[in-house]
Amino acid sequence: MYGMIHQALRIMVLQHVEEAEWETLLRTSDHTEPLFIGMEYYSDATTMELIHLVSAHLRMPLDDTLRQLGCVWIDFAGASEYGRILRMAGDDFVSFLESLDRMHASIRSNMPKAEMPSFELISADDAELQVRYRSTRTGLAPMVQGILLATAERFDERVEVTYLPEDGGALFCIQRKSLNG
Amino acid sequence: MAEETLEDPGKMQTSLLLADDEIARLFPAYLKLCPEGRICEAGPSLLRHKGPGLLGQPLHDAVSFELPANNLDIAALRKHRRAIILRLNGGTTLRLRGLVLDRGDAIWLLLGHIPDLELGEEMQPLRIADFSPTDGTLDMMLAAEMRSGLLSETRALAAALDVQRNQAEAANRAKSAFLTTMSHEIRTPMNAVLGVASILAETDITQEQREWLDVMVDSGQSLMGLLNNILDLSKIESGAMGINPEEFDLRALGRSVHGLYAPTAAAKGVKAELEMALEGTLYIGDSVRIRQILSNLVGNATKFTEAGKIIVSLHDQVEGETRQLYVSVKDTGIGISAEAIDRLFNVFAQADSSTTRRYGGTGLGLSISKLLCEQMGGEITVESRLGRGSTFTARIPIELAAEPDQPAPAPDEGLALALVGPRHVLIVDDNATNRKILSHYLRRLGHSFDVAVNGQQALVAWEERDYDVIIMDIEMPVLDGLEATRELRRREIASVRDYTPIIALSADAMIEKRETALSVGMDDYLTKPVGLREIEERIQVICARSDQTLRAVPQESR
Repeated sequence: MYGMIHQALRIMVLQHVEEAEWETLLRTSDHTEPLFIGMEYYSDATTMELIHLVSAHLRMPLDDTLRQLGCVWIDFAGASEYGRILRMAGDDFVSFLESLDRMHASIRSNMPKAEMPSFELISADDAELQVRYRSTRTGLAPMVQGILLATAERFDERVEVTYLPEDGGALFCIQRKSLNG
Repeated sequence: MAEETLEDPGKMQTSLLLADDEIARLFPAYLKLCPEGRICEAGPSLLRHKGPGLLGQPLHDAVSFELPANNLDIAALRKHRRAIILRLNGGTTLRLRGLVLDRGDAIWLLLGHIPDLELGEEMQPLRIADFSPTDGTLDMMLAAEMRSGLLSETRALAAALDVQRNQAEAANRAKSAFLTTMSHEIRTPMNAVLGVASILAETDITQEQREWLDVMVDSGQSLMGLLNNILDLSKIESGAMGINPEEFDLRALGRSVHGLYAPTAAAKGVKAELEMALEGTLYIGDSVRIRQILSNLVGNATKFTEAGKIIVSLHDQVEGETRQLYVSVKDTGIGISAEAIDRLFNVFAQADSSTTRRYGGTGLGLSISKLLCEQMGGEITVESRLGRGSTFTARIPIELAAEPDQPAPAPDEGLALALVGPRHVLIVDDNATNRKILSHYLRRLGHSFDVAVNGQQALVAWEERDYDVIIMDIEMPVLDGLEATRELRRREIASVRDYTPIIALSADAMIEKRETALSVGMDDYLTKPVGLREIEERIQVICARSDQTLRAVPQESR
């Protein structure tokens, strides 16, 4: 995965412990570079090893760790040097979800190594949204759940997100508790 | 498909017909004009940016054409088959590019956005939905965003690394300052240890006691060598190590260093040869630093060679507009592996830790020699193979001095020998041990002396009587040596008294301290520890110089 994920993971860890402990985790994972570059590609093995180490270090179940990382990811990406790309996705929750695949396609055309997930808006009404998530990676549905929760909050929506695992992804049901707050 | 088109062009035209909503999906920024030229429909992107007020406007009120440069009337627009570029009027920055599609009952302008990559998102609030799925412009825009983000990130990383580098440099400076302070602090007691040892050596002691004393003196001198290296390194790192070119006898320097190490080599059965292919004898360069480099290279060769020989060679030649001195030391010693050569000149690195264990030393010598060479505009290179010996070569820019027509006058030391005699000395030092050692030296040398414990007492003593020379510490309570010297020189001038030479004696080996001491009116600067012979030599040289000056200046003009 790209370095931005690791940067977001660092922000998440720093919500719980001091920088020194994050650096210890990096050393434990044999990652010798002190700084991740957002657009640099790092192997998935590196990313997942770090996430597992964080989960163990914080004594937080892996799914919770991923979910929290997903929440942090949206805020982090929005505030980062690349935040405009995220903001270009749309001005409301639905148009944002509709634009995700297009955004990922454009990013992939610029970053050939990127393995971007796909988000297909199956249905949308005032009460519920259904999104089909597909990815070549496995086990990241909790992170997507966090991403969807944080994205809804970004657009002042309160939602509940559940998912049904599927082959190559998951079907997400988003219950809209209140529109625009 | 092409054949089908040729056979039935009408079929192809039918296959290209698009429903209006399909046009909207493919061209989110389209405009549909009624036959008279008013805008009757607009794509969702334009409606989002301009609102429904766009509808019903005459085309030329709503947009300005950039291409073609002149506004086309509706009839001309219908026939236009080339690309158009237009800008939305009314305070937006939106530019659009596309084609005209004449459908008879309506004219379609199939348009896509041309983002200005320099504009921020406030000025240009484009969204992904504003772009057709087939429009590569979005990819270009995101690429520009990613490049811009990467630049920002790179700047932030560079700033973070800069902070880290500054912190590391500050830590390094703190380390150097600590080492310097520690070295000074160790010098003072070492002065006492070596001074007392030399006094003891002159007493009636047994052979066994003398041997133990030799061990003590050797160890003390080794420690002083180490301290000097640390101070040198600290000076070089802080940029305080100046290069002082002066005329000197290079042949004598070569012989002197060779003579110093040849006996040690010979004791191991190693022959040390000296070869000099020099164009002259007198050169201009920093003889102290050249001696230091040569001594280090020859010292290392002696240390690491157990059999065979060492060849020390000095030669000079003009290269371009500069004369270069090549100092080369070749040995048949243990040699160095290729990997070890890479880190050989790194500070605090010997070839490997076993070298330290077996041969001792800190590995600072080569680092210092390399830095000194570089500071003089030269370099050090090494050729070596493990077990096959080494050749170190220092290249140092140097100047050939004019040879004198007649033998040079005897240096100060010669003058000193001619003018040996008892002197009356004032010792000024706040350290009782130092005063005691210095008193012993002066007594042994047959000089008379008085003692003061700070600068103020020294001034009182000087007011009461004349001294041939004052030996003054620098750091003292009440009034330090520098202030005392300033005041003494001021009073000398005011009272028209004879000049009293002052020798500074300090634990501070930093060159800037020496320069400060000389600038306030001191005549010489000795670094602790000093031996009896050194004290005597400097007293006589300074006093003889002073005597000579006094003789040369008529009494009435003083």
